[in-house]
Order: sequence, then structure tokens, then C-alpha cells
Amino acid sequence: MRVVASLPVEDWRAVPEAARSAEAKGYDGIQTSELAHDPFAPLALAAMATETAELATGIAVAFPRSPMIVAGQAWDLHANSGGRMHLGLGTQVKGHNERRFSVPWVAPVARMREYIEALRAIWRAWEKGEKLNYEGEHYRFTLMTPEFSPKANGLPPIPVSLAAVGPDMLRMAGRVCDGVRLHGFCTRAYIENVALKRIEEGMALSGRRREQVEISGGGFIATGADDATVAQMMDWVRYRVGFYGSTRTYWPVFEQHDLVDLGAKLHRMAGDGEWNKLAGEVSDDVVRLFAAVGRHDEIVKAIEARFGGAVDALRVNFPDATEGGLQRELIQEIRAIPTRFQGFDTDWKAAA
Amino acid sequence: MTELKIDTQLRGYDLRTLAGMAGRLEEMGFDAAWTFEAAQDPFLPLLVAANATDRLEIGTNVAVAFARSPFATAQAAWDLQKASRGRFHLGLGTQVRAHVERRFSMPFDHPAARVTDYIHCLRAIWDSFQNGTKPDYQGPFYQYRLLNPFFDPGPIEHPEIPIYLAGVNPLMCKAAGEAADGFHAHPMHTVGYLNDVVKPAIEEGARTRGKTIDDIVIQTMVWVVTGDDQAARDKALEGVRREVAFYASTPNYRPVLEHLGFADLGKELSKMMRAGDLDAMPAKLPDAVLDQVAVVADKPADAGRLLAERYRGVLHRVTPYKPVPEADPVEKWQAFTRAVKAG
Repeated sequence: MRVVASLPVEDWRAVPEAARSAEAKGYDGIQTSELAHDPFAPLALAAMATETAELATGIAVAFPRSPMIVAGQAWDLHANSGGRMHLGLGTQVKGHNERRFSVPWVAPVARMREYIEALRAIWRAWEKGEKLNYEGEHYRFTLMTPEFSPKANGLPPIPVSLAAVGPDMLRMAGRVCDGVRLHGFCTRAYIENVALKRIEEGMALSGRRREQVEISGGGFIATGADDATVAQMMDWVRYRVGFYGSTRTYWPVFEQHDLVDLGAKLHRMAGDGEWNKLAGEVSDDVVRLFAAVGRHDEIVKAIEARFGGAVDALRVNFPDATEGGLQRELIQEIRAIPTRFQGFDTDWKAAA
Repeated sequence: MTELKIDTQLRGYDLRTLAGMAGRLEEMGFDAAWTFEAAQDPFLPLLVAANATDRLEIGTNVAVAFARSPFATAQAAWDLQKASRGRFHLGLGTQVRAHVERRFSMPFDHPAARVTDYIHCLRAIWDSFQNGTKPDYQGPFYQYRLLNPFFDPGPIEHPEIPIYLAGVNPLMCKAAGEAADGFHAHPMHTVGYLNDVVKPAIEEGARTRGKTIDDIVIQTMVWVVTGDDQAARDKALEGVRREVAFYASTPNYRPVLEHLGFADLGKELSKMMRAGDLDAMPAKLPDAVLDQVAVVADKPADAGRLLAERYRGVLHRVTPYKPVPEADPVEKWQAFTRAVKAG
């Protein structure tokens, strides 16, 4: 299992030390997210501060930036880190694209597929000196001059992973991407019976091999030094499950466990504005469907049971108070959980 | 308008050695370092420079506006302003139609009106970050109507981020006057063109909102040539002649040549460019043009004095077109920046 740490993005002066510390603890990678801050810039600081850790956006919102911009930022981070960049993208939802980012929301799955194909066409143009000529329905790239081309760097291509929830996005991600990022609102049954099936359908369409496609996420982790801390973490999961479960989009997960009635109840309560009561409807048993739960001495086994064999990478963060030696030990034990993913495809594939 | 700031380009440096270089640029006495969006992202180096310096102002000259959603730009700028503790300037440019449409795959209709709208939208976003103002911006091209606490970075100590707009033609200069805090002039200019065309257009725009030309900070890049002996200067000057000839062949910069009384030259160079006759282009460029767009001197201090003579009172900040070579001694550029200030 690959173990990834979240990079704090609020205070850029704290980024180098946080990155160094994560690498020293044995994390395989470091990732940013795009909430209230830019997800790319902190990775530049992390790149300078580390030697081996993978650097990932997990995720950057795609459509608000031209693929050319994202291609360039990822390229600079890849080139300046000796090939450690991993570009994680997501679409966000209609409301945020249109009303926060002021970009169109049209055919998101098809548009996202073109976005990723265009990124790869741009990178090939830079690395292989090929003429840039990508003409899709949503994106067209037909102009590249030497002045605007970064130098070829001799590195393997940048892996691209995609956050996917719905069946069409999951299928497309399996078909086109190097990695698929599952939502936290997942259970093992949902991953195995629904998500992986859609991803594998997509992989079959393009002949991708499971060993080269990294599947990450798909649940929560609730751990701590003692039962009281674990209980607190479970309450955090309870809140998240209640929050997402109130949205119909996520009910296919509840369907796997005959929990649609719970979803309907959460939906009604959210409609009545009872946001702070949602968590109270989520029982311990339901929390355990969504999370690996246990004290530090139990959590590795719990993670293996909940995620092992299904997903290949997990974001694991320990509270600040957790002693460094213990963190290192737990990270090593989680990393020992076998996965199907073996490594990204390092070939520069010819344009489709 | 007495003070003339002397800036430098943060361009072409390796991200891995940039922190040290930014510190040296500060030591050399430069007021600001500007990135350029060509083969390198313009925001990433500024972050590294912000963390490595205390006084140096940082900014983009320019970032291509339309390639990014206003919110994505607003967010990156906000983070840079916070990290630099108020030293960031956001310079935006429209680029040209072919590059926006075919290199960035983004819309380019009505560029002056669009970029004005873009700037207003940025300010609405920052206002909501700083003051919690409800997102309610609806312009002709951009909207901003949704934010929740999850995506709100919250207030910062220096919320007034100066926005510079880059331009050449009067329409874009006027747009800068209407909406921006600063203006990035193109190195392909003369002082006469700035005084007769650029500044009146900025003034016209500024007046629409009760401001004047004095409220808009004007920055320009300038070709600066120095060298210890005539041969070195001649060689450097020939390089500049090539670059100027290239710009002069582009229709966007023809108004500058027309203003100098060389209208036909622009057309001739365009023709040569299309015919692929690149090597013969520099020879067509008369010294009369080169003398007005470039500053040539033996020693850095002399160049600094010439820059001050030419630009003090005309605009607020000048930036040599070429970045400082990484191996250059600090003292050499200290002499240069001091001369500009003293000049």
C-alpha cells in the first residue's frame, strides 16, 4: 500500500518543513488539495525540500485552468523534482464550475477526457518535439512555438489520476488515466461491487493493465492512541457520512447495504436545515462500513481488512501528538499491505 | 513622479537555485522581480522568491489572464500576497488571439472589455475573501456568485493587491486606466510613444472613474546593453537588433514604428518574416530606431544613469529586458541600481 500525507497549504512558510518531515517519516508521497488555496504552488516548495517523495495534487480542479496552464505547472514541478510529479485532477460540480469559477459545465465526462488527452499531447510536443495538433470537441490545441516550449527533460511521463464518483466518470478514468481517486464516501462492498467494476470496464476498453493503474482512497481511517481518541475520530467520520449521505448522488453506496432509508431520512433532515443532527443518525456499525477503525495497535489490521486488495494508496494523517517513531512504524506496516498496483506506465505512448 | 524604481526579470532560473538567486537580486538593490509567462509558469517561481526574501517586491509581467478562471487567479494571487506579506503585484495580459485560442483553447472575443471584466471579477472575489461580502458579481463575460466557507481563504494582512495590465495599443491602455492600478508597457516602445499615445490613453480611461494618470503606476522593460569593450557591446547590440526586428515585424507593434515615422518598415519586416527571410531582418532596422528603444553604455553605472535620464518623470519603474546572469557579481548590479536611483 502506498501511504500519502496531506501537505498543509494555508501557510507557505510552513510547507518545506512539513514536506521534509513527511518524507523522513517514510511516506511515499505528499499531496495538496484545492479548497481555499492554490494546489500547485506549495508543491514547488515541497519539491525543493524533499528527495524521493511523490508530489501530487489531490486534486486540482481542472476546468478553471486551460490544459496548457496545468500542463506547464505540472511540467515545471516534474522537471524540478526529478520526475516526482503526479497530477491529480477532478471536475468539481456544476454549481462551483459555473458560479464560482465562471467556466462552462458541458458534458463533464467527455470534456474531462479531452482535457487529459490534450495534456498528454502537449507534453509529447515538449518532450518529443512532435507538432501539437489536438482537436477535440471541447479543446483544440494547434499552436506551439519554441519560445513557449519548455525543454525536453528525459523523464517518464507525468501520471494523471482522476477523482471519480459516478459510473461514467469511473469508466472513463479507468480507460484513460494512470490512477483513479475514489471518494471517501465508499464502503468495501461498494468499491468491489460497483466502483472497481466500472473502472475495469474502462481499462478493458483501452487495454490498460490493473498493475499500472493506481486506485486510491475509498474510505476513512479513524485511529488514535486510545479508545477515547478513536471514538472522537469515529464522530468525525459520522459527521462526514451524515453530510454526504444526505445527498442523493451518493446513495448508490447506501444501496449496497440496504441503507437507502437512512439516506432518505438524512435528506429530509438536511432539507429541514437540521445539519447538526445528521451525524446522530449514523450508527457505529455504519461508521465501520465507511472507515477502518482501531487504536494504533489495531489499525494496520483494520486497514488491511477494509482496503487491502481493493485500493493501492491511502492518505493517512496522524494527529500532531502522535510520537514520530510510532508514526514511522505504522507507516511501514501499512506500506507492507500487498496491492495489485505495481507502478505507473513509464512509456511515452504515441498519440491515440 | 520623482522616484524611479529599478526592477529585474525573474525569468529562466532553475526553480532549484531560485531561492539563492532571489536573495542576491534583493542584495543587488532591485526593487522588484517580475516573472514572464513563456516556457515557465509565472506563479511558481514567485512563491520560491517570496519565501527567500524580505524586501523584494514580486510580480507577474505578465500572466495570461484568459487562460485561467478569475477565481483560480484570485486564489493564487491571494496566497502569494499572504506569503510575501504584501509584496505581490498581479500583472495580467491578454496575449493575442492566436495564442489564446489555439495555444490555450480559451475564448478571446472583445479582449479589452473582457480583461476589464476579469479585473472587476478579481476584485469582487478578493472583497468576499477579505470582508465576507456575498458573491454577487455578474459581468458581461465572467460571474462570481458562489463561495462557501470550505473554499474561502479568509482575510489577509495586505488585501490590496495591485493589478497591472499590459498593453500596446490605445484601447488596452485605456482599459488599464479604467480598471487597473498599474500598467506594464512593452519593451517595444519609445519615450515619445509613451508620452504621446500610451499615457493619454491611460489618462482617458482613468478619468472615467475620477482618477488621473498619476494614480496608475507605469512599468516598462527596456533593452539595456553594456560591455567593457566595443566588440562586446556591438555583439550584444546585434542581439538586441534581432529581437527588436522581430517585434517590429509583428503587426501589434506597428503603431510604435508609425509614431517614429517608420510605417513602411513594419510592413516590410512583416513581409520578410512571412517569407522566412529572418536573417536579413536585423540589417533593415536603422540605428535611429535602435537608439530610442535600447540603452547602450560601457559600464553598468553609466547604463543606470542613462536609464534614469530617459525615464525619470516619464514613468515609475524600469526593468532591464535581460535577466541578471546567475554568475554575475552582486557589486556589478549594485553599481547599476545605485546609479538609477542617484541619476
